[in-house]
Amino acid sequence: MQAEILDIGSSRGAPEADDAISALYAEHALGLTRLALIMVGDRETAEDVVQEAFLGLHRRYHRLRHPDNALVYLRSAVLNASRSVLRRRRLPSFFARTYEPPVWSAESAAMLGAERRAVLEALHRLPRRQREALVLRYYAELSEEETARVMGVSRGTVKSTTHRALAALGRLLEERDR
Amino acid sequence: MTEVNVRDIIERLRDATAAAGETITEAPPLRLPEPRPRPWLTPLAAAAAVVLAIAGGVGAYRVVFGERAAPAEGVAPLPRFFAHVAGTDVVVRSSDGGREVGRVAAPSAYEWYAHVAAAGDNRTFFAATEAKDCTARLYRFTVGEDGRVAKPEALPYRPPEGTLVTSLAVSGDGKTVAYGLQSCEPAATTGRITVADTATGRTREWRGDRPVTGLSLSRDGRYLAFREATLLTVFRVRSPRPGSGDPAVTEPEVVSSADVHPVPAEAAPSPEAAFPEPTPSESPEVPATPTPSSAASGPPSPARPGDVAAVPEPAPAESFALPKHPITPDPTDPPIREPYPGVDGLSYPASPVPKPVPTAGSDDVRYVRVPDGRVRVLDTTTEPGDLRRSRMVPLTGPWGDVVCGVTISPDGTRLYAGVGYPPAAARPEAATAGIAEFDASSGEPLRHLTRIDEGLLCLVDGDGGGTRFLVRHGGEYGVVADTGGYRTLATVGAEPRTAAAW
Repeated sequence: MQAEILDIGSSRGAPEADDAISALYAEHALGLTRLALIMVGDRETAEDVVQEAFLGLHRRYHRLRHPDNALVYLRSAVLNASRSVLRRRRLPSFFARTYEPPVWSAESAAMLGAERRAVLEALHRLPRRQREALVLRYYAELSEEETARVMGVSRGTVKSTTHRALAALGRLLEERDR
Repeated sequence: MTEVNVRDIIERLRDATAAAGETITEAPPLRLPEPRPRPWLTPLAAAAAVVLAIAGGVGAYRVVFGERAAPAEGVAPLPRFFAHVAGTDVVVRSSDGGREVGRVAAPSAYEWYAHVAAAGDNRTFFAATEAKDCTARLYRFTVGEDGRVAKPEALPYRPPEGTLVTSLAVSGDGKTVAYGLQSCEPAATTGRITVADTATGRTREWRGDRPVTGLSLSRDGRYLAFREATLLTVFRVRSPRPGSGDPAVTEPEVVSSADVHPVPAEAAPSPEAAFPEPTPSESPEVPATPTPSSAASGPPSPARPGDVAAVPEPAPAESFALPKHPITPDPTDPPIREPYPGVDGLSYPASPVPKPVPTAGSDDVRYVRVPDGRVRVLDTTTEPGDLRRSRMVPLTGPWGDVVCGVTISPDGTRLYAGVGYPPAAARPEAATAGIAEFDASSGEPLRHLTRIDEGLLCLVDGDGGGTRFLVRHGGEYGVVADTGGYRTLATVGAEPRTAAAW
């Protein structure tokens, strides 16, 4: 079974591309924004990340070897942009902007509860690849195969990374629960 | 790290990420940068056209379909368990890996489970049984955190004798249970729906002129979505009883039909082209006037799953032709009982042409449906009585003529459906298949949750939060998330039963 394979047509004419991108946005913008939120923490940045991903798709749409892969591209783009955001935040910058506190922080207006905040905090203490694997597998509910395509790694890497990530997350939560 | 620990961690992770994700309820419109003025006009015009097309498309989408409703309050991580009918039992499986963690055995050799439904807590399940004497009972059982199944308790109210449950639903809060009923009398063509308060046992009933199936309740039990079976053709097939010495070859006899017109014998289609997809069934609903043969045989009784009858496929009767409308078996809507593996040694391939197969133990009558996009929504706070007062919601969209399973959202404002085209048919141009969301008032499509490139994805049940959907595809159960992904939950080999829930 191939889930998430979008029927966006075989023609690469501009109208078809426009329609496809419009349809993609209408269908997946919310889900992708949520995915980005979990990766970057605040809504405004998450929305920017998704906008950037769609802009990138728009620029490259006609170079996609398989238009059916558009959603995989978008997910990859969201992950890449999220990484860039997190990297920039770690660097002192003259142009640094302020961000809303992440949804899992106690300062956030989101009412997640202590338990969920702790899980999300622990998730963000994991190495980047482990974090991404867990989010794609257990939040986006992607299969190992789909996760591998989005992350650009092999299925075996997804499997082993997920395994290690769960173990690490378990240790972090155990430390907190003590 | 033990397996229990892993499951717990995954569960906590799903819960936390889902909660965080649902703090966002809508995405802003797509913003594209203004194109810079450039001397070459063609690229500029093209860029502007793209901007307008995308902005217009998104705008049109929002205008036509409206903003997507905010998710229901609370957060619904992936349900930990799901249950399905397997043979005569109910099997409880873990959503993480599909392992069987519990089993509810059939109450007796004469009574077996046919339907199962789940409350929103994913720990309270209801089930309905059938029995050879054409009685039905309702049970409730709970599943512990470790998956252990408590002994089922029979509910103090039950369907009247002589009726069978065609579909079962329970509200998310577990306070309301609804079931469709059909008479075992061959001459009956009607259907009814009973809505019961699980605490008091108070029941209310609505009656309609067709059998009902595919029931789904909103969280508070106020809104009930269901579908009506369209009776096309009724066959009577004399099946040999084991050891009875009856001849093995039987001729189907059409005792009644609708939308079916007599044709000359030479125009009668071949068996493969003329009969419905095999659907072992019982408890017929025969419209119009029964023939002497049907009257003489008396009401049939249900065939117990697992009963074996080596019956060859019957030849077609010469007195009818294909219905005017395309016939496509709808796997979610067995008004009687859906196929189960191994009963007669036949596989049940999806087929756009119907074909009858006798079941064991009794004279059988069966019918097929035209699966269409019509769903009805009943406000259960209205006066009981006439089912026709429910609201007809025609699901519209760019797919073929198959709607495979419908559920209603927890708040009752949206419908979700498996949509597609006949499994064995060539994909119609511009048709899509997958799980789609609709406005429960107008039937207008809101979005696709997921699409598949071939086959049919059948919606089985929604979770308590309305964000994770139990589906079946080929030989497996799977989950479709609100975010669009599909994941296999369990591979069960043969065609999974629609009687499943979480």
